[in-house]
Amino acid sequence: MSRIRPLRRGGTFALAAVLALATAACGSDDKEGGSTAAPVATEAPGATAVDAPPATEGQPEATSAPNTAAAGGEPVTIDWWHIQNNDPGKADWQAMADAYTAAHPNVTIKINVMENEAFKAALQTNLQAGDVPDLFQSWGGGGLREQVEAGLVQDITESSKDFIGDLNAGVTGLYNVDGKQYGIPFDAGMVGFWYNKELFTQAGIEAPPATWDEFLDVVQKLKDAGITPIAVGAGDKWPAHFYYSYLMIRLGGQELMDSIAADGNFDRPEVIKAGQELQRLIELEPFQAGFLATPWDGADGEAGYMGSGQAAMDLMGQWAPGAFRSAGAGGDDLPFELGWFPFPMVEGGAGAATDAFGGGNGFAVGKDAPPEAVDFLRFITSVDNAKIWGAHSGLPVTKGAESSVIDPNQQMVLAGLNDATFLQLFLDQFFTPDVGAAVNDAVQTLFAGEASPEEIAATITSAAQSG
Amino acid sequence: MIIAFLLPALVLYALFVLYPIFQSARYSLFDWNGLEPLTKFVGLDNFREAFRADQFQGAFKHNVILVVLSLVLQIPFALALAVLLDQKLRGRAVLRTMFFAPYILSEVVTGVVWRQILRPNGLLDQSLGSAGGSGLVHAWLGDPDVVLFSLFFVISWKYFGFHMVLLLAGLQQIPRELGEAAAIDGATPWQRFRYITLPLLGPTMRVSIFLSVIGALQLFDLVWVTTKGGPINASATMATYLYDQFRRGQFGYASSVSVIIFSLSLVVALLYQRFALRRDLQGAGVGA
Repeated sequence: MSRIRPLRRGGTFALAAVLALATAACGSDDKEGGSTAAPVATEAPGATAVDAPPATEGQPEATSAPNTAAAGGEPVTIDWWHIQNNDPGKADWQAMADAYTAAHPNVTIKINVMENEAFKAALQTNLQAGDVPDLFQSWGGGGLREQVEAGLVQDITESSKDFIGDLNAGVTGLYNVDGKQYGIPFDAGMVGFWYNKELFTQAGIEAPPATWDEFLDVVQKLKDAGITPIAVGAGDKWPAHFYYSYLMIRLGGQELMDSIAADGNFDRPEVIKAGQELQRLIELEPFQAGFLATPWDGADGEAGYMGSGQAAMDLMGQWAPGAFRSAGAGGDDLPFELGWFPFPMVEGGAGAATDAFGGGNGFAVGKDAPPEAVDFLRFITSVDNAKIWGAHSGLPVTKGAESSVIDPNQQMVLAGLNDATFLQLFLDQFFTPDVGAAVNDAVQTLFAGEASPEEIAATITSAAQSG
Repeated sequence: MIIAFLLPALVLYALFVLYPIFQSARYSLFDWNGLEPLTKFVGLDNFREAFRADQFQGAFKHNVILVVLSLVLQIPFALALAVLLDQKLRGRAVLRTMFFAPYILSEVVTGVVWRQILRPNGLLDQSLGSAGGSGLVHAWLGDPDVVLFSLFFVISWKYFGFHMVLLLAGLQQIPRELGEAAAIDGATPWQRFRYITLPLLGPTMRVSIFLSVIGALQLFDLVWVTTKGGPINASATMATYLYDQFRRGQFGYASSVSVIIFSLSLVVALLYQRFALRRDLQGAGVGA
């Protein structure tokens, strides 16, 4: 009962109370130091948890010894921060770093592996202090743009031009700010509908829907059969923003997204139409109970509902099956057969069926990084190393590495990505964190039925144009 | 000599308390995303924006609601239990421990546990269902109109035991003779409670209220873990709003919010001390 003691010693009580307050208050202030905050970060978990086909036996071998950057130069150190804190990704990166330094004895690679959230907090601290890692995890988009504007990352347009053509152009474009390249992606994915084939059969649905109206029919059929049509983690907000974003892309296409990016004005007919189409879906009440408080991950999350067979469809990225397995049944296999279909076309929309929405993982190059850092990026994205990544961890972006992806659903995702005529990055990563958060917030109010499509378009616009 | 002994503590205090407060106040005057140099001086614009922001006003309102609910429901409940467990009662030690136990849990654990209980088709809904109250099943955390009250329930669950023990300690300091003497003079139990126990419990009550108010004003962990302030900010508190702004990279603006919360807590604390606790503190030097 130490809290009672100050009462008896009146004089100290005043001081103790003020002290307690001050400490409590600066507990929050700490965050400027970046020790606890994760400010730059957006929430879409493009980061890890990419659905991986079962890893093959044994340690990965990083083949394809690097051929450029003559060995035996000045000793250099590459400070490399990545977030693959689990095997096989972690071991693969280590093996590739070892192979590279073996071929280049003058290069030392200092690897710093962190968990996603810890990484975001630590990076923020280092960036504020101007102590920028040579290579660090990046999702591109608005976060990268802020780093570019603060002069923290390096223009690698020249140094990467020899190999960047070997990678998926849509994905490398995510690391391009105003025509200059600042990073290199190593995997990518796109969002689409994962669905439970057995529940579809139960409801008498023969084929996945190709248009939005068909999709709404499917939702109604599932409901009529007593099945929860869709699991959504609207509590985490970003899973809900997928619907809004995809409808914008389908209705307005690249032209719309480019003009929004240019002037920050969401108050456009296509965007409002996207909100109205989304309302049509919401009014069918297709989601699991209490969806406004449901997170993405965990047994009580979107992934849990889908993975345990309690919902028929789930709009999510390529990392979803892994999460379904761990959050749902808890075993290695799902208790049902999983299928995938792309987001349906919207009748009369200007977007193409091949317009994709997604994102990926890559590395940004710090402002003081040695040239070897870029050469190392060339090395890890070479076909052979990309195949290792494709076989173990995620969808590779290197042309010629597609064959390493075995899972049929993931092959469909990869094909969608490779055939994409336009790749729109997750909106909450595409814009600055502030605008991204405004999009997420606004979509949640639409899901709650508390705001109209016109209102949310105006709200997002005011956030986007005030920055 | 005394200064020499105080110096290490003073340095720590300055470094980890005063300096961050000062820095925070400085950042609050800038438009700053945490990355670029601190150049965009905006004066008090951040504060104006904060006072105008609907979300911050909403968060403030939620804090006030929680403070009022704590004072009107939680503390009287704790008092009633304390009075009850102050009686000679079989198993009262066990009951005291049981009621105090939730206070031992960290706010994060409490949040995680209650999220499981309150989730759709969770323990609460299932219990209601099997008790024939399936009509009462509700989206406890998913309904914007209900979530704040669900949260208040969880907060009370965690903290009533603490207040109960505090008040119990206060009750035990009241001399039994007073009650016995009054009883001999014909005072009813209610009269004894109203005119003897309650006034003598005053100092403890005032501390309990103080801790409750300050706790409610700074509430963060439990809310963040349980609801993240949602849905649609219906359970946001000033502190979760603050944290959210840091996550958005609005460092200057978030600093101004932190300065507002700090000032508010400080003013409440000082006023409360000046007007409510003064008598208790004066008396404290003499006896007790």
